[in-house]
Amino acid sequence: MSETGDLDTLAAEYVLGTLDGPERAQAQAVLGVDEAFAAKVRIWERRLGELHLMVEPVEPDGEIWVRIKAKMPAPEPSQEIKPPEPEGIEPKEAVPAAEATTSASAVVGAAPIPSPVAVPPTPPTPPTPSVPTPSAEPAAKLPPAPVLPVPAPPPAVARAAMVERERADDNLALRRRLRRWRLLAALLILTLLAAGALVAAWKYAPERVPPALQATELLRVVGITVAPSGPVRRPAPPESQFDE
Amino acid sequence: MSSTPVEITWLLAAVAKGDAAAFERLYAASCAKVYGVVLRIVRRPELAADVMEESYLEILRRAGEFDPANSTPLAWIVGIARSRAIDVARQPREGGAEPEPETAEDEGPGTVPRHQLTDQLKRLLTCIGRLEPDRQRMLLLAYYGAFTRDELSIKLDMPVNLLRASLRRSLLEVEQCLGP
Repeated sequence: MSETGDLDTLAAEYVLGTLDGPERAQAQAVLGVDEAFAAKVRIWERRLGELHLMVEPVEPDGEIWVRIKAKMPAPEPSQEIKPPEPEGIEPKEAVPAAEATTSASAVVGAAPIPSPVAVPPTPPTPPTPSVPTPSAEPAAKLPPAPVLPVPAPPPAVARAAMVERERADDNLALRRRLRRWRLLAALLILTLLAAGALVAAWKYAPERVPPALQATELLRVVGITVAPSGPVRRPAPPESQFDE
Repeated sequence: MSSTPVEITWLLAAVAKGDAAAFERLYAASCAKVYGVVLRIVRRPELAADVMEESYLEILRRAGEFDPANSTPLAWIVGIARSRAIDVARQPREGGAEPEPETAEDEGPGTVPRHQLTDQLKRLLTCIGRLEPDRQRMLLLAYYGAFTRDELSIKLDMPVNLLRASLRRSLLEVEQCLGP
């Protein structure tokens, strides 16, 4: 197996969770400095990520939320300048303003999930018969793959810095994406308006439409030839339409 | 699960903007699933509680990093917690080889309500289903319990070198089956 294949296996096993302590530490060190490896890990996370759907939910002790809440950092004023939330993913209903202003640090040590607007804890999933039992058709036997040593990773440096940078990049990318979509929407609206104006002109003031924008001319441009009225053998001036 | 991916995505976006109430709702909407995953890996409730705390504080910090193009929001949340759980499970325990509260649950759950069965999960299960039954079991056991190869070799009664090769081959086949 090539080194690439080896890194791929390392990424897969890292996500799967079969690496032992030292191997996992190595993989995490590589993760911090090797973007190609980090990309492989993300791919495997995406590949295997949905397996969680088959895990039975277990309601945790309410004390856990109390602990989390106690350790939440107090909201900072700098949060005001965060990038706008992408409009595309907003659900229909908005959070009530009162809820949004609930302070994180207000209720330390309160009952778990005390907010009246909190989503009720998800009920344990009832066992359903829809087991997606994987079809057990035996695969063709392959020769055993050679056992390869885990590659020695470069030293773990600048991992935290990288995470920070990725975060900033993500925000920037989000804003750029938002701008692109807005631009696209504006262009679409303009196109629509222009098309509407053209159709209106055809209908109400056909004589004012320049010849290049006549409906028949446009159709001809896209390869459809339309006879103005029935099979005409010669071009007829408008006033001669009753000649034949 | 009562919350849809769209709702959880929106909650994550609100959390990224510093909305504490949204974080509470996010926790309520996801904690049972996350705890189920974490508990299977660390096995002891007190460790699972620690992992939950660290994981959700990490989710709070990193909510802005979630990219809907890469995964579903719950998979992203579970991924963070699962990784933390594996880290904890790999830490040497004082008290040595104490018996874990282990049950017959090892097999991995294996059921999912039909309405939650995503296309991606269907594809993955089809690909895993093409492996021999022993290797299917190995892969699912590895994912749900996050056992090391040594632990798996004991559980599956298989020499560790053979298991290692089999694991890699299985992952390769799943990768080829799923495509890019």
